[in-house]
Parts: sequence; structure tokens; C-alpha cells
Amino acid sequence: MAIIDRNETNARESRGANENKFLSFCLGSEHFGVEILRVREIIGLLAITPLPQTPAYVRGVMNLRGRIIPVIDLRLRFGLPSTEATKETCIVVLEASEQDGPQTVMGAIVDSVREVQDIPRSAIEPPPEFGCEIPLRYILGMGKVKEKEKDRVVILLEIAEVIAIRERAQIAGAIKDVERRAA
Amino acid sequence: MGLKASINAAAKAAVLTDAGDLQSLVVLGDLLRQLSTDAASEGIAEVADRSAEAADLSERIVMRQVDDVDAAFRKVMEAIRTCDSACERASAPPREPADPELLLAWVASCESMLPEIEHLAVMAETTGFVGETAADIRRRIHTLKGECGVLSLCEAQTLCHDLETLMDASADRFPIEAVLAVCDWMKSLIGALGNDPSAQEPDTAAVRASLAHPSPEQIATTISEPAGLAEPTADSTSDPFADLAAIPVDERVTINLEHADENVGDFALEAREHLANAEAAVLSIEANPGDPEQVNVVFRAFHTIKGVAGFLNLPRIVEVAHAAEFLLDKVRSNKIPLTAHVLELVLASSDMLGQLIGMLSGGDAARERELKILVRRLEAACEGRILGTIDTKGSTAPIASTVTAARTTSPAGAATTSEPKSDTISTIGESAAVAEASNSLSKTHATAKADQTVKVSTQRMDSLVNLVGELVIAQLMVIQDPIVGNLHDQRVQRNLSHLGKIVRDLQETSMSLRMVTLKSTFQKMARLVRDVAAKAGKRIQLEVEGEDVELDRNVVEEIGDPLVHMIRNACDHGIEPTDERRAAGKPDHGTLRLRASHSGGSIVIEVEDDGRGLSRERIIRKCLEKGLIDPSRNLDEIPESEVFNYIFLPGFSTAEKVTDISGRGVGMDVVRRNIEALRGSVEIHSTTGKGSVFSMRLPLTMAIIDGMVVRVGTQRYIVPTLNIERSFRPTAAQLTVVLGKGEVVQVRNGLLPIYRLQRMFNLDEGTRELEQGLLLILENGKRRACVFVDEILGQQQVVIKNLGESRPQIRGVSGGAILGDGRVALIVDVGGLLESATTPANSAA
Repeated sequence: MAIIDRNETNARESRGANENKFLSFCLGSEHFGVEILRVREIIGLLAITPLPQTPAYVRGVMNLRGRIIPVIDLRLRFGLPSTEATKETCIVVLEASEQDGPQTVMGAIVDSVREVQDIPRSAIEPPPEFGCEIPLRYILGMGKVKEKEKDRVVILLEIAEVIAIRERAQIAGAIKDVERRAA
Repeated sequence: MGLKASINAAAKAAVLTDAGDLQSLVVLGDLLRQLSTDAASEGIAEVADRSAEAADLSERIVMRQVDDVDAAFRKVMEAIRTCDSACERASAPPREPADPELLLAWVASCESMLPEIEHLAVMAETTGFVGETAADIRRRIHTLKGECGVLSLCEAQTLCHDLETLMDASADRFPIEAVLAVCDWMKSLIGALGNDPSAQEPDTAAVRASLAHPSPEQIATTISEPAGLAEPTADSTSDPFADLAAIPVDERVTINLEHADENVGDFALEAREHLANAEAAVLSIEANPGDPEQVNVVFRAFHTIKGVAGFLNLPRIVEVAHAAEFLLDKVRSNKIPLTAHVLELVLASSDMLGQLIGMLSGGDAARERELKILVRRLEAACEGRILGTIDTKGSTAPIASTVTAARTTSPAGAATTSEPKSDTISTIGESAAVAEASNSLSKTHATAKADQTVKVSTQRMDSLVNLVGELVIAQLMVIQDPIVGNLHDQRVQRNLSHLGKIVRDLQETSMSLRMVTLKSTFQKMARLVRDVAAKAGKRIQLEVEGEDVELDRNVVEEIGDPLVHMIRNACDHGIEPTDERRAAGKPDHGTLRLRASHSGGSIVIEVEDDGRGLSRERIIRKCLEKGLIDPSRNLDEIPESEVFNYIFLPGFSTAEKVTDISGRGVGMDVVRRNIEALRGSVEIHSTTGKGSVFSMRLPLTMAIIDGMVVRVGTQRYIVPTLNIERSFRPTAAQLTVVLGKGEVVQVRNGLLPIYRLQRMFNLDEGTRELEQGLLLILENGKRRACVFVDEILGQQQVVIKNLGESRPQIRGVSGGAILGDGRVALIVDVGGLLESATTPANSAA
């Protein structure tokens, strides 16, 4: 207990300094960002064991120093086409908790990791209404950054939403099973 | 019950919190806040209000908004205490008087029972305390106790209980006078009840005296001279303890552990630590007087013990700790000087507390008179007086100080008291010596006990178990390394196998650290049964068996919920109302049996009731309504197991009305989910009109299993060895295809369906030809089937890990394990696999 508390206090203290820091990464040509406080570490691609009966974007589970964590493919998560892994492909280990849920640690496969950027609140705009590919609940906001004298927009992700493997979907599946059995 | 736990937590936190320690205060505030919301949701307004106030107050202390921190903190403590009693009141409605009819029947049976016990007791006295008679008496007393409990005769129940304890304690001498005294008392009780069923239970003071733990010397005297009547012979004008002389020398302090919970053990451990600290501090004060901090250390020790003991309802410990604390407080605030006498008293208090705490874990009982004298001396010391002696029968024998004088380094401690006269050869002097002997005996006993248990945080224990798990993996990595495998050096191989043995032993030992008994879980259930029965207006008797069975701590934690649901269901739906029971010719009170036992490599926990049983018709009717059963099926032929399995479906309830206890159809779903998460299974047996049995089969431990590593394509899976009956390579002659789809294999004892693991796990790799792979005959409960894999790679123990915190529930997979090469292999959940294989969605795939 005590250790956890201390960690929390540490996190609280460091939050102030890192609040506006985002780790940016690429999926294809698009730039995404996640709050740096949610990132535990970045590791190279490891052996992943596939999990049956899970959505395609769940690539499986891997061994993170003795702990088994699920790994999702962010490309598939956002409905982008899948690609071959390259030297730059890596796994960002993210940590977040769903509402009232337990802390979840999960790996997310991204094409490449770019940098840690400071994006002040003033430079973040709410997501526009696309009515499109990426459901809005995944998006925290649109961050505007300057990169080599060029303006660029980074899509800031709501990690808790992104890494939540919807259990609701599974329950719906189970109900369907029951119905099918009845039919 | 959850509320009670939060109050417990808050109270514990409060006791351990110092008013100056802001961090702890914040934690305490949070706990109180939580408590307040919990209480509000349970509708106990008093607790909610008081705890909210306390939370505010503790926050204000943190914010430095109060002038007198100590006073504010005391208020917080008070509020918690009020919450506790309010919660007690809310959750424990006063016991209703027992059914008069039942009571009269019992009275009648007692009229013959008591003389029988008396007769047996007298026989035992003449023939000696031989096994059979003694056991008979004990049985009868025990029955009596149970009956009194059912009839809400609390006094009688505790009396019988104490008598039992006494009989157990004095195995070699039969406490006949105690038995007879209790019998007499019971007779007067029965007489009173016979005239008036609502009569109060008679006073127990006299009979209690004879129940006090008799020491060998007393046996001879008490028969001729009943306890409690010893005349004070001392000159009462000069003796401050004259009134105490009425307490027989050998009367022991009794500590009622009836209401004690599992915290008592922790308290005993902690309290011993505190006492040790206090004693060390006293010694350092003696060596180096004038260090105010050391006084504080001693003060805090007694204060903490007092607080926790008060909270745990141990009044005798509070009594001593409070007196000592009070004295130390005076010293701390310089109201009285810190003399050698004070230090001596502090040490005496520490000894007394040590002995009282020792009683919690079965140590020798402290002497009532010693305790009273000590408290008297402490109180006198607070007023600056020195009471050092006890004057009985003209002799001076400072009982309380004999123990300490030897231990105190300063002779002043003894000097301030009057000189002990060495020529006291009175019975008191002798018994004091005996007391000292038994004291020192119990002390070594207590230390031995304390050494046997060490309090370790669960975090550390878990990390140890995890590390050992890693060690097992690492060791396997070494042994399975091809280079090592090719070493044909005998010494290396011998050393490796030695290493393997040590690792296995280490693993077993570390696993055993996590084993706890089911006692506390079952105790909670007893309370639940009582509450639910009261709510439903039924009389239900709970019989518990096997509460000493040990299980992995994690498993024990997880089975609480399913048990609660099963027991609620049994009480609410299973056991019928009294009139219905009578009509069915059953006894008025329902019986619920909670049993735990070992069976094979697992633990079986059963909840059995003698109620109406599950109604097959009602379940089938409901299934038809919901469209779960094909109406064209012959309803009489549906196997029992299938019918009963439907009640585990979410939202399935045959209850005609939803009560506030159960009936929403959520419970059994929770039961199955939780138990399956533990790799266990539930089975139901039920006979209409006779009752039902729900049995949960659970693994002993959740952390490690023996597994067979199998390969399908490039993937490896682990199948628990326990579920594998055998494996074989099928020949073409054994195989049959049904309708071009379902495959079956003929084995010695019949046909078994074949399920291909690659299909069930949607793999597009692996052998397709059955003759080129292996079939594993798997069994889970009554279900058997063959599962097709490419090959078996080997057998090994694996550490089960969950697949991430969000625990994606995957049918047929119970978890993951890290193999020797660092990759993750999924562990096959045979029960889930076989079940999902039989659902149309998968078998058609």
C-alpha cells in the first residue's frame, strides 16, 4: 500500500512539469501524440503470442519482463491498412485506467516514434467533426506544433479509450451466443 | 459487512495516526470520506453524518484550521467509535426472543438431560476422568451450548462454552465442581423458563467463580470451600487491597474472545512489539534519565495498545493499558516525577499486558487479583502515592513486583516497596512462587509463539512468489538449453538435478506461505446466514465443516462473493418458510451446511440446504419462455445437469418475486464467472423437496500448475496435466467422420468427439492430417473429449499469469505462462474449451 501511495504522490508531483508533454509517433503519414505521463516505456518489436477470439487489432500478448501484457496494433485499431514491420516499428507501453477500472498496461504497435513535444493547452483545439474513420472518443484534441519552421497538426489520443478492449462488445457477443443457441 | 470493514480500517488508521502526522491524517480523512459515502448508500444516516464530520475535522487538522489539534483528533476518534456502535446497532437488530414452543420443548428435554450430565459427572469423579465418560459429558455440554445459542440464551451459551473450554484445558483433572455448578445454574434457568418463557437468565456471577481456571492446589480446597467465599482475613484498616482479598488467589482473568475477529492475532503481534519497545525505552530511561522522548515512546506504546484493544473489545487489556497510559501522561506533562517506582510499575504493566496478550493465543491466564492490584497501584501512583504491598494473612508478599524486581536493573524499584519477607510460607507465598514459575513458563511460551509468526506485507510475499516463479523459469531455461543437454558430464547433471530439487522445494515452501484457512470466510458466512434468515423471517441453522482447510490467499479472497450468492440463494429460495416446512414434515429450522474438503488436487466447497430443491419444471418453463430450449425436444429427457446449468445464465431467475435479498438472476452468473476465473467449476445436485447441494471445485493454488506443452503449427499451448487422461496417435481405423463434419475417434471405452485446437483457436497453421498429429483425451468433470494437436513438446511447471489487468476473458484460455525462451504460451482452460466446443458456433466451424 505504502509504496503505491508514494508512487502516486510522485506521479502527482511530476505531473505539473510534464503535463503538457506529449510523445509523438507516426502511423503512416499521420502524426499522433499521447500524454507522456501515460507512457511507461518504448521497446522494440518482441515475439507476440496471438490470442484467439479477440478483435483483429489485438495482436496478442507479450512478455514484458515477467509480466504478460496485451499488445494492440494501433493501425488496425484506427482502421488503417496493416503493413510489414520495419526497423522503426516499435511498441509503446502505455498505462491508463478506464473509468473506475483497474490500471491497465498495454503495448501499442506504432510505425515509428518521433519525439517528446511540449504542446501548451492554448495550442490544443477540440477535434473537428469529421464523421469519419476515427471515432471522436479516441481523440483528446488536435495539437498544433511547429516543426522545422512548418506547422503540423498532431492528433492527441485519449489513451484510456484507445486501449480499452471493449468488454461490452464481448458481452454483446455472449448474448448473441445465447440467442443463437436458442434459435 | 463492508461498512463494518471500512469502520475497522478507519479505526485502525486512527489509532495508528499521530495528530501531528499529516500524511496519515490525509489517509484517515480519505477512509472516513469513503466510509461516509458507503454508509449513505447503505442508508445508515448516523454513520454517514458522523464519519463525514470526522472527515471534515481531520481535513481541518491537516489544514491547520483547528486550535487544539489533540482535542480535534480526540473528536475524530470519538466519531469513529460512535460510527462503530451505530453500525453495530444498525446491522445487528436485537435478538428476538425464541419461539416459546421450541423453548418449552427444550426445557422439557433439559429436565432429563441435566440429571444425566450430573450423573455422568459424578461417575467420572468416582471412576476417574476416563475418555469415554468425559467425551460424553463434553458432547452433551456442547449440544447444550448449541441449543442455547439457537434459543438466544446468550448467558447460558457462554457459560456452556466456558465450561467446555475449561474441560479442554484441564484434560487430566475433571472439573466436577464447575460442571455441577453449571448444571445447577441451568436448572434454575430451566425452572424460570418453565414458568415464564420470557424470564430473564439468572445471574451468573456465582457460577462464573467456579468456572475460573482452577490451578492444581485449588482443586483440593474448592470442593470443601466454594470459590468466591474466601474470607478476607487481613486487617482491612491498613491494607489498601483488603477488598481485593475477596478475589480468590487463583481466580484468573477471563478474556472473552467470542466476538474477537481475525484482527486479534495481528494485534497480539503488534502489541508484543510495542511492549518490547516500551521496555527498551524504560531501560534506557533508567540508564539515562531525563530523556523526554523515551517517555513518549513508552506512552505511545500503551496508548496504541489501549486504542486497538478497545476497538477489538478486549476490556481487560484496555483496563491495564489505560491505567499505565494515564500514569505516563502525568509523567509526560511533569505533573508527577519520574521515579523508580513509576518505572517499576510501567514494567509491571508491561508484564501484565504481555500475559494478557499471551492469553489471546492460548497462553496461561493472568491472575485476577494481580491485575486488580496493579491497576490500584497505578492509580495510586497517579496521585503521587506509593502502594507497594499487599498484606494478606499478616504476611507481606508483593506479588506484582516479584516478577519485575528480578528484571529491573535498579534495586530502587524493589526498595520503594516494602521488603519482601522471605519467611512467608503461607499458601499465598507458595502460590505466588507457582505463579512466577508459570509466568516465566508462559513467557517463554509466548515468545516461542511470537517467533513462529512474522508479519509480512502481502506485496513482499507476492513478489517473493513471483520471483520464485521466475527462478523456476530460469532454471528450466538452463536445463532445457541444448548445450547443457549435450553435456554428458555426470557431475554437472547431478548438480543440476540437485538444483532442480532445491528449486522445487523452494517453490513449494513459498507457495505454502500464501495458504490461509477458510475460517474467516466461513465466519463471515455465519453472520450472513443469520442476517438473511432474520430478514426472510426464517430459522436457519448453519453447520460448518472443514474451516481449517487451507487455500491460496487469492482463491480465498475470490470465493467470498460466490459463496455469499450461493448462501443467500439457499437461505432465500432454497429453505422454505416455517409453515411450508412443517407441512412437508421437516423440522422447523432449516439447516445449511457449509463444507470444505480436499479432493484430489483440488478443494471442494459445498453449500447444502435441506430446502425445497431446484424446481426442474420451473426452470424448464422459464427456458421455454426465454426460448433457450427447443420446445420440440422431449422435455423429460433433458439431463439434469443441463437443466441446472441454465440457472447460471445472466438474468435467469425463476423467482416469482424479487426480494431485497435475491431473485434478480444476477447471483448465479457471478458465481460461475468468479469460479471459472479461478479455474474452478460448479456443480449442482438437487432433489425436489429434499434440498440442493452446490459444490465448487477449486484449485489449491492459482499460481502454478503442472502443464503439458503442446505445439500447433508454430504456436505452443499449455494443457494442465490434471486434465489430460492420456495421449495417443490415432490410426485411420479408429477415426470416423460423421456427416462429413464431426470427427470421432474410437478408444477403448467408446467414441469420443475430436476437436481440433487449430480450429478452436482460429489458427491457419498446424497439421491437418489426424494420423500425423496427436490426440489428447481431456476430461473436466464429466465431460470428455479428444483435442487434436501437432505434438507434445514436454511437461513442465508453469507460473500462471493473467493476460493483462483488464483480463480479456477468452473462452478456452485461462491465462498465460512464460516459457523458457521468454515467449508467452497460452494456458488452455479445458473446461471452457470443451464447453465452447459443444456450442454450435464453434463445432460447425
